[in-house]
Amino acid sequence: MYTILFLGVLIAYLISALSFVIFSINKNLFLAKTAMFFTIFGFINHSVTLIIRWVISGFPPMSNLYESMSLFAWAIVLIFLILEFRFKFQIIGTFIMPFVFFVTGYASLLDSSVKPLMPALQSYWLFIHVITCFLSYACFTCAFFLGIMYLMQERQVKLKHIGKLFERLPSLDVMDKINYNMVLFGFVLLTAGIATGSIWAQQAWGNWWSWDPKETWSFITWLVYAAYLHARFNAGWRGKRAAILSIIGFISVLFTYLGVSFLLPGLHSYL
Amino acid sequence: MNIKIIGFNHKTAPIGIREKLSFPKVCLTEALSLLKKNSDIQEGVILSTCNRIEIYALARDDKKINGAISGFLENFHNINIRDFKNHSYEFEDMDAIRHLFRVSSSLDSQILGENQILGQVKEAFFSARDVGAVSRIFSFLFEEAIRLGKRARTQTQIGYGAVSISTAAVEMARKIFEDLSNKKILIIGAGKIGELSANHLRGRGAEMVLVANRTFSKAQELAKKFNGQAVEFDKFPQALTQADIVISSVSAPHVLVKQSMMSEIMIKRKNRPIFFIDLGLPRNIDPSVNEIENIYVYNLDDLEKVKDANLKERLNEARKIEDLIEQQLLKVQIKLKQLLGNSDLKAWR
Repeated sequence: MYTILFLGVLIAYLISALSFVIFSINKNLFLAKTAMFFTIFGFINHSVTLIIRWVISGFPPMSNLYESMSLFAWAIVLIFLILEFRFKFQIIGTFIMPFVFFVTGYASLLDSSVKPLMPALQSYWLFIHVITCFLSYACFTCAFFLGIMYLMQERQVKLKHIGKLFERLPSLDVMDKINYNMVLFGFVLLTAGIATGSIWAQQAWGNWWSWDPKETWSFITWLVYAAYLHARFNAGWRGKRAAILSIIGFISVLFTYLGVSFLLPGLHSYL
Repeated sequence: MNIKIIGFNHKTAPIGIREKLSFPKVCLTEALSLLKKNSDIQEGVILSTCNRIEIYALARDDKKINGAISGFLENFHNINIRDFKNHSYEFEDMDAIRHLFRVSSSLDSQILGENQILGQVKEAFFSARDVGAVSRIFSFLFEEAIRLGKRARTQTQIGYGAVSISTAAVEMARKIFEDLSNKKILIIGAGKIGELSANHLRGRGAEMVLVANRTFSKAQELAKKFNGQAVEFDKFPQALTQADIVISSVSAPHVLVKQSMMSEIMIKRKNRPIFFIDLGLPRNIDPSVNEIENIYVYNLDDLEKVKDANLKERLNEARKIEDLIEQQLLKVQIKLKQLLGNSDLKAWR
């Protein structure tokens, strides 16, 4: 039952991603509607799978790589849907939904069996810490794709070369603003994520901060986005430079999330 | 059974000819009544716009239809049709229906994809219906044509992208700033082109206008028109720190805005984007200014290029509409056979 439901999520995201990509080439608005339908359908299903897992295991589905991947994809779709309802630029989906599909697809290849929660994670802090971190990752992911879209559109406007996506891509001003908002929200959430993690660490390990690789790298990520906000406020770094910084920030996010888990063993290695 | 179109449009007839044949709104009812009275014409519609005059007629008698339409035009306009024959085109039956569909979906328009023709076709049909000049065949065909025109606009991007220089400038401004309201325009050179372009941008919401001109009184004059502010010519660099869109059309032998000057101004602007529309010849803005981040400089050739790219895109979309039309024609043909009954089948080869 659970496996079939999760497969349904994966297929819905695949159809959504394909429809969005074809839509960007063929420009038929019907495709964008199909894509949105499957995104919402997939998201509802996805939420149900997370709840089922929570009910069955008795703890929030945030305890291993499979669960965190699934949560990551879910959080991205959540933020994407918020953006979509607020701004109605279907083209964002052309970039985000294929990524969501790959994240969900990768999760589906991992071990999804429910195992008892290891003692170190048995705390209400698990939910608070992980959800804030992953919502911040999702905001940064959206900022990353808006950064890429910005650079594509900026290039077309600058070089006066009107390409295929020119019509569909939003204006530079709007993309820059959304990019900024996403970074700002992501930064607030990441700060909260690091703070809650620190409090939890004090309670669980007796240490606020122990320079474990995950901690170090999330601090580096935090610094990158702090630099983004600082440069934006004080040096007027907007547009292209902001877009590039948000791309660098996202690479740091990916390393914090995956690189550290695979390459640098530490206290957070179960994720 | 015979559907016939005799028409004159921007491709076949110069404006002088079209003027003599056009049916202004005030005499359309009268013309339709006259058309209806003709015993050789069963149903009729007159489509008269500034680019085309077309008479659509359903014949009672195949052989007399040409004469009937010609006679109607001669009577109404008091002309000799032979003087106009060279400027006309004719379509029959399925070709006529195809033409009607191409017209309503704006494929036959002077500006491909323009959005007025659909409304004009609608109006022509409604006028004819009000007079009682159309019955079930033309009602069916024109309703199909109107539906197809709507589909063409929603299912393809035939109406997208600016296809004139001035709209291309507005389109680029909107791709940079999105919302043009509360954006400041600076006009350098109070000439006619500057004024026209500023008008276009103001139509999209841009508010504040600054005008700089060598003759200060002319700047004041134009600024007054826009409820704006005149700027002394030597002080236009200061205005560049405030303005978001700059329209420059000064005839000067040297460039007015240089790269070094703009680099400094961008620091004062905190990198807020600025869009230059350089209409001067020789150019007023040094092309290298475009290399600075958050500055976009477009001259006439650039805007022309944008326009052409959009036009090319519309041509691609037009091909999709041609396919839509062919599909619809097959359905229409079947439906028409039902409407006409067996007795008229032979005419539909």
